[in-house]
Amino acid sequence: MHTQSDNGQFQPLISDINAPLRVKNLKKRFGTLEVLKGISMTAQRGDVIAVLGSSGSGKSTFLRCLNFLEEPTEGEIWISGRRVRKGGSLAGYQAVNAIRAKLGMVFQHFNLWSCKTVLENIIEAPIHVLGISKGEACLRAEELLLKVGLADKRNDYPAHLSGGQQQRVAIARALAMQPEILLFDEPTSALDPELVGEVLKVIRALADEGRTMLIVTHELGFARQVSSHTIFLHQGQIEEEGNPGQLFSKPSSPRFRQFLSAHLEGGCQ
Amino acid sequence: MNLHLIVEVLPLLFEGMLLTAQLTAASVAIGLLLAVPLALLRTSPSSVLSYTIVLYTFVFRGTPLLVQLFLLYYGAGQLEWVRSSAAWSILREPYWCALIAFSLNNGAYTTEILRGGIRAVPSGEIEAAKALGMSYALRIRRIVLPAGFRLALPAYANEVVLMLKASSLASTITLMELTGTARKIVAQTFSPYEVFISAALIYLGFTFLIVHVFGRLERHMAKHQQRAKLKNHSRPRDRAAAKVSASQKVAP
Amino acid sequence: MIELQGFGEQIALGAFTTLRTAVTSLALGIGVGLCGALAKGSRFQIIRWLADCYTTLVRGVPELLIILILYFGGTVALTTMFGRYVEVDAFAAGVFALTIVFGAYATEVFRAAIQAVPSGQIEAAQALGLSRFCMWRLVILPQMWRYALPGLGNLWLTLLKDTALISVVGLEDLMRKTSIAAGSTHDPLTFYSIAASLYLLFTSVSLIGLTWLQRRADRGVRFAQ
Repeated sequence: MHTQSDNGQFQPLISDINAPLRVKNLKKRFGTLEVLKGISMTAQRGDVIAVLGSSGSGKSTFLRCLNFLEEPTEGEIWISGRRVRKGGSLAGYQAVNAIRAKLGMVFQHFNLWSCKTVLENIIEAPIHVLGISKGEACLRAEELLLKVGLADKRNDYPAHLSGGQQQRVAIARALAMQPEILLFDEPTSALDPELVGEVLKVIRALADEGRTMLIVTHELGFARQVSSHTIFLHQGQIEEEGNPGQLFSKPSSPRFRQFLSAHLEGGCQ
Repeated sequence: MNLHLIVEVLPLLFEGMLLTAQLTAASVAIGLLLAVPLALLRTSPSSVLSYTIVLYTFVFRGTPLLVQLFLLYYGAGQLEWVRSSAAWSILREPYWCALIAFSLNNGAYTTEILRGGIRAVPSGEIEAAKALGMSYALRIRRIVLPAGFRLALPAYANEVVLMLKASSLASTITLMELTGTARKIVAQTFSPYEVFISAALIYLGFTFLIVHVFGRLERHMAKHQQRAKLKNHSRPRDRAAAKVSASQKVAP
Repeated sequence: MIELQGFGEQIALGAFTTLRTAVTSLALGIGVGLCGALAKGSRFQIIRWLADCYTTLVRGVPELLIILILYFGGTVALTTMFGRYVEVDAFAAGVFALTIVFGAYATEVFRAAIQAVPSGQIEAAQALGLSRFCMWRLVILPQMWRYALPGLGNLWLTLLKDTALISVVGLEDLMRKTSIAAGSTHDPLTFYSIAASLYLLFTSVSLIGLTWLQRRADRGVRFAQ
């Protein structure tokens, strides 16, 4: 996906310049604790990148740094060839809010607005951030609900839905912004086992549509089947990455091997 | 005790009742207008302003309303610059003094109540708004305030009842609101029980009205929770509401 | 000590009266609140109904009005009883009124606190064959305090401030002494500011004390939470 020269310098390829997402040497410190120790990666259009790692490896922080829910301590992020900078909208830079609108985020705990209905949850941001009309937003929301299989729930409140249904609404809400990239932060970790399948099915369908996605997940089987590229994070660094077929069958890093065996034995398949 | 007199006195108290209602409504309205921006500033990270607001709520919640009222009514006229300014025509009037003291007092309590509500809005819901590219102002207007209000509503309803009752203090600076009128009639008739009980009944009526209105409002706003009890998959709001009531505890 | 134009001592006396009134009302009010909470949990509907009436009425009527009713009403009642003019002692009327108010709110606090005691504890007491009285004394009441403390703390702060209302019927408390001083020196700004500072001091010290009490009460239950 990218080349890294010996001195750790990041050399973008021509195709990387306009990639939907490019990250260079991303670091994040909380006080003295360095959670991310310099991560570089590129996502091309249509890539489905699975980010794996044990808890504490920094994978969620990485995702949250991409849309500045956590402000990176160091490093650079380009979205569609434009560098992101907090607050500023200098030439070549884009303000954070504009960037966030392009990155659809799906959270572990869904984070639906509990006092808005399903439909209101989906149309809120398109109307007030993108400025499209309510009629159009509703129309689009209905389509998305149909897509995630919840057309009949449009007037329900989140508390009336199961976890799996809530997560599918959250995905529809993210899609309603017509994002260039979708970020999934452990989308199935908070779900009862029997509800995981319905959410994975929706994500898989999105992958088949050719959407660019980053998925932090514990579902190894799913990551292996769906992702076009897999990254294994360990202690804030990319320990191993590559084509999932190769990576899973012949892991070169002992830590990844350990991780795989622990998780596959654990029945997390 | 003369039951007849209780009923007879009621119409005499009517004018006082109107003034009580008006004072309460105006103080609550101004208090709320004060409290919304203050609660927002109080929950925002800017620390200097935050400390000033803490000081304001601490002083107004830590001293008796009666002291605040007297300080304003008797004390303000002592300052030469107040006397010579245009504000004097207002501060000279007991009505305006009462209204200002009540509003500031109510504003201080409401600020803390709203802050509790705002802080109890699940952080995930705010994060979702951020992640969707909503600006700070938009998040506050569309997500934080509506949810915070809902969470703060029960405590706020209490606060409105307390304001109604506190408005009786206006009688100590010669205002003829409900309690003031009652005291005047008692001085004329020497029947304290009947007259004061009459007044108490009117206050009770107002209290029930406030409780009823807020109860309806709460039920209306709690639509999103109904039926939720059958399928409890995730109900962060209930926990959040519990957090609000907890945060209302130990505080002056 | 600052002379305060000769009113320093008077104000100190007033502050002492304020504290004495508040503490007396607190002690009596806690008793009333406990009785109220027990009444609300009574087996007899009439007792529950009476307790409900009590809390609803008191909480819906201004404290000032309650003080006026008890003071002037009490005076009238005593006068008819003795056949000559008898004025009720302001301290007694004030403490009585504040006790009634505090008791009504405390009833709700205690009721909630009793309900917060884990039912397993009560079942365990029953399983041990404790009598109803023993169960209350040994199991429920000691544990209930911890849950009641935050609510009671708030009520105490309200009570402290409400004592100022009794000055209206002539109790020589901090507020009243300040008013006298303010009137005779024509310096209300200074004197009411001093009163405000003293009340603020009382509430601040109370807050610190309450935090300490809460921490003490929570000892040993860290893990349970």
